[in-house]
Amino acid sequence: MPSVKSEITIPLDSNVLLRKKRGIKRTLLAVPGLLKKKIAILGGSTTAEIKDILEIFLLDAGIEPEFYESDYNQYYQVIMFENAALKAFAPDVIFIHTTQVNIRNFPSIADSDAAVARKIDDEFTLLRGLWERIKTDYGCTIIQNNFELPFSRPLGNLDFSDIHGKTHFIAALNQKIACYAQDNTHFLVHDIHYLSSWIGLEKWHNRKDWHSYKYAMGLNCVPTFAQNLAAIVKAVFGKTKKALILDLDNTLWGGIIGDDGVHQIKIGSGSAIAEAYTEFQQYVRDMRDRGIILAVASKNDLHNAKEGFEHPDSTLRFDDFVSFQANWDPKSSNIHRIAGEANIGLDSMVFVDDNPAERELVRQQVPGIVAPEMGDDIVNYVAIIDKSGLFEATRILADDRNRHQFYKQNTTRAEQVSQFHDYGEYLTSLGMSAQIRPFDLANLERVTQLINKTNQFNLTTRRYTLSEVEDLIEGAESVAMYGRLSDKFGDNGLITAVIGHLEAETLHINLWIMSCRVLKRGMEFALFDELVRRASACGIKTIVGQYMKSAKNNMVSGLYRDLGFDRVSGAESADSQWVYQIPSAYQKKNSYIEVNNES
Amino acid sequence: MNHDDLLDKIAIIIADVLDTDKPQLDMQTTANNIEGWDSLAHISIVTQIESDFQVKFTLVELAEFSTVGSIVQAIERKRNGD
Repeated sequence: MPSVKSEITIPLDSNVLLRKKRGIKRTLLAVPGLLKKKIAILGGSTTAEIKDILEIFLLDAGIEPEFYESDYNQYYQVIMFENAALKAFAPDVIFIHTTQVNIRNFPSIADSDAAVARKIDDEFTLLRGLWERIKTDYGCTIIQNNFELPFSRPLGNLDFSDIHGKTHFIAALNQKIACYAQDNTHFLVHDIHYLSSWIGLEKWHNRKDWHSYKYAMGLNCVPTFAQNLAAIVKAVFGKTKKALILDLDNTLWGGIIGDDGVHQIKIGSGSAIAEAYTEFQQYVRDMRDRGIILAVASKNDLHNAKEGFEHPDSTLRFDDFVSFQANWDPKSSNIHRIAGEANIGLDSMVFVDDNPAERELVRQQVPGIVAPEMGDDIVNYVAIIDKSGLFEATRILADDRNRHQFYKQNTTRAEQVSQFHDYGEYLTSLGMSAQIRPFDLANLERVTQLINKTNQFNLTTRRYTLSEVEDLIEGAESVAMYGRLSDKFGDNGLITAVIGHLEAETLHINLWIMSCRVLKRGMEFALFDELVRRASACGIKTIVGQYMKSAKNNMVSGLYRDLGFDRVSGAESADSQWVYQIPSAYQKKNSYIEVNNES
Repeated sequence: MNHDDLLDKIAIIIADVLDTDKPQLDMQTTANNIEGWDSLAHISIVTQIESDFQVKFTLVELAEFSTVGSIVQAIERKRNGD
């Protein structure tokens, strides 16, 4: 991840982006280590500006896109008829940019009930045909706009309730699109229904930009559109944020708790200001519930800071934070401390502080962190975070909803460690048990999510799409296993995976990852034992491993050495290849985890 | 604001959009005279002029922009409350 300062401000300045996109792109392209991805944009209206601005947002997130752009309004033909150019391009993502101008079957006022119902079905069938064809021909992720409200309403307010209304038709169509997305994990909806409403339909339906240039939205809306779209693409490639680091005074409550005292801070329902802070706390709490990690970095005495969350009207509780740093050290040191305690990368963090000087310092001293321009009015805080797209997800899984619990349990475990003289005694005391199983359909999404977001314990940092992972389930030439770990403090969920392929009598490990929330528990040894067991059962004598250095995975540079592999090429702590001859009397390496590997 | 001031402001916009040095403009300059000023860049340039000068061109005006001079005249017409 590039450690340069972002070229894009949050909140967004649309005008600067539209005007200086070429210059900004030039600067961003100079950053090393960009992840190359192929994106096909298939439009039902002009897409040139969308492509240009989308590119800037992706570059800013460390993704260098290569584009295939369909000719004007050729999305249908490109998908439905054999297209050698798109085939050769082999997209990672196909984005279908259709809007209400592309709807072919709007009802007419004379249509019967049955005719209207048929038109809704026909319109949806056309769309579903596109998606199914993409699934068969390309097998890649699809991003599809839903439909925005219409420009005109010939029926006036009746347009909403009368079955002949365009508004009514669009609502029915959008409902079907949502259902399809619920059933198809590789299919993601770009919600322009919400986006256009948020921007304002009057700005969105800019008739001049439509008639002059065939843009289905006002050009001034393109940056917000591209930001929203980029959020999904970034989520697909695991480039979203995981943690919210919060200041306290005048950020989570009004006033200075050290000066004013807990009963004087503004929170709850006493005043407009207090209510605005509560609204922000409730939003932060909602983020926690969907899996965003919360931490505090505040210049305060610890006692005073904690007391703020004992205020009877405080929505957030001290317990909601996985790391709580309240002291007089520079915030950058506290943020580094949080990164250590919670085991998350600095570039996974978003820092929220009302003080512009603190924000600027943190931006300079903490590489990769995002510190939005919050301004000094609490009334804007929710919208600034909410519209930033920083925390976009492609799915919310059970593991996400339980994330806070996982991290809190880790804090309890950390407290336990200090009670033992010997780390092994501590591991024994945890009473760990693991399940290690071949990939299955039920865990497909979580495995894919883990593969795409794990950076530290990741030997090769190869990323896999959902359909690539699915292919491994039945693969005869491959070994693909995941592991779950639980202990006396709770279940850690699915936290590790390994993928290898068989060649002659050799197993090549292509991917090996483990979640940072279970580091140093010996789970890698348990997984390796199981890998050896399965390999031996297939007559495999040799295991080949690879370490591909990234900015984040130094912690595993010595993993193969520690497991007894011999280095055959490359250097220590650099890209290298390792070989392990399975001894006839293999000694299990794991001694702390009880493994259940049936099935 | 006279022609030269307007031309200078437009030149700055063109430089930003095209990511080049500020071009020398006169009333007769056309898109063909400026490297990189293609139909896509034209849309950005016109949109930026509208937002910088706080004017809204009509569909007819947009269709008739052939020289930088015609843009300057349209801005002036709007500023004179035409």
